[in-house]
Amino acid sequence: MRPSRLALGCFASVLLLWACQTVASEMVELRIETVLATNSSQDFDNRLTDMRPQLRAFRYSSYRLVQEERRRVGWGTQADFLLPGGRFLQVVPKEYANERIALQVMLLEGTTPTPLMNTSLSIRNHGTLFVGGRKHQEGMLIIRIGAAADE
Amino acid sequence: MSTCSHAERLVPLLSDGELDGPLRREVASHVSGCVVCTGALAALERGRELLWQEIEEQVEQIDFSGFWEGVAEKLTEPPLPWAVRLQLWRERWWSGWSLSAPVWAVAVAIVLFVAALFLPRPYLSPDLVSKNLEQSALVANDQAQIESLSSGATVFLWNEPANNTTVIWVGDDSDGGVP
Amino acid sequence: MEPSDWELVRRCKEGDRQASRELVERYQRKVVAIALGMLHDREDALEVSQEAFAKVFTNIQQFKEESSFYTWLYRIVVNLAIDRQRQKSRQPLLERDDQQGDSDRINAIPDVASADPYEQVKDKELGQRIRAALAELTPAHKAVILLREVEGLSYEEISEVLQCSRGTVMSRLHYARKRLQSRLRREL
Repeated sequence: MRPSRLALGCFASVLLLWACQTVASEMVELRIETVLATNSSQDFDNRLTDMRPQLRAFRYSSYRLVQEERRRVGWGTQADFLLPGGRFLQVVPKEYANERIALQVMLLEGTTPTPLMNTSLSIRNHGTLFVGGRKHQEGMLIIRIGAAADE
Repeated sequence: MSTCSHAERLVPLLSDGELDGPLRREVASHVSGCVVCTGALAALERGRELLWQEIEEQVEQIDFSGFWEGVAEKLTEPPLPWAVRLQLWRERWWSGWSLSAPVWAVAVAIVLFVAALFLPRPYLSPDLVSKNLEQSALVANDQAQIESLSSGATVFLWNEPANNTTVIWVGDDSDGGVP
Repeated sequence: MEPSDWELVRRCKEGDRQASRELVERYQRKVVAIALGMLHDREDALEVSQEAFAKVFTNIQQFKEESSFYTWLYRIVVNLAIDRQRQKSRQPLLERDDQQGDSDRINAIPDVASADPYEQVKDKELGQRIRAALAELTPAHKAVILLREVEGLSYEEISEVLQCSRGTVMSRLHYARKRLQSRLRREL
């Protein structure tokens, strides 16, 4: 390879790496995990091992992961997550400040016009929040919302 | 009274036959009287039709007369020896990386240079140290901070700092409360 | 009366070659349809489809009749298509272009029924836009929309094919439909 072409290639690589780093910080990864909690058994879904300490807050005997979705969205962009039982979760990451992510979270159910819940909150980067309380099949749905911004 | 922005979201479930019982009847009843939802259902069905037609047209162009023979041939092919499979794997995954040593050396040098530019530096000036301490105080609060909350149902809110857990519990009023 | 899938699978397990052929002929179009939707290349789709059937018959003894044959078959073809796509994305672009002849390109002008040149061009353009919209989806989203819209599988069946929960199927389908609808807004 000629030296001039090599030099051009190196310069282009540096530019590309810098550009990727810039673009990546414009996106947020949202992670929605939906868990069915019941008292009908003692089964614990192994996929929820990392969540086990947090699930102790709920005092059900059985937990099963029914849905997991990850989405990368830009700041200010709404992400819709369709949940079991005809429910919708709308999440808008609003801004990032002091290593915390500000979110708008809305939970809608069925054909009811009023959102079941509409909240504006902040969690630390890579942190999580739980929303629960809706009946599903023989138990309750517990939704863990996580957000991670590229720093 | 249903509104379209919500029923529209259930139209795909209705169309896919995945709603049952009272919810299906409610949504179907709403759709039949709602221009927006009827349109959404029609758009969904049209989208399905277009995709199905496009794929079917492609399949129609294929001559399947020798298809079984192709399957039979693959059944009689002996599996490749592991050494050959390893070679194929290597070629498949590494064909794009066949560069000469000097070019590799330069590439590694560039990566190290860029990493030095973007990774945080170990040394902090006193001003930066105090700023970082202030930020740490905020970040040490791992709990979610609720700025506003509105709900059409009964809501319970609790924190368990030991487990970094914040819970918003939107109760089903017919059921009556927290777990 | 046509034999059921179970009967044909049982006969395959006993080494009945004709039963294997009947299963292939029963599902070849459906399998190729999925592979075409995933790969957008006729030659690759045919090869992956044949590989899928070969893999099925090689492992037929392990097949448990509690699940349905076609969900198992579709799972194999989807996974092989994803592998093939991954493999191709690592090939140098020049090499890939050289291997493809015009007859294999999916965007060759189809032999449409309409004699009207304007309609022919419109149909071709629409077909290209649908293919382009589909190609933009991730493999996971492509698989779910093809299994639902083209093969007509239920959410439960799709979850069995893709080995994910029913809720994940719903969510991915919702997202994939939104993406396709935004690209095909004019037609919808």
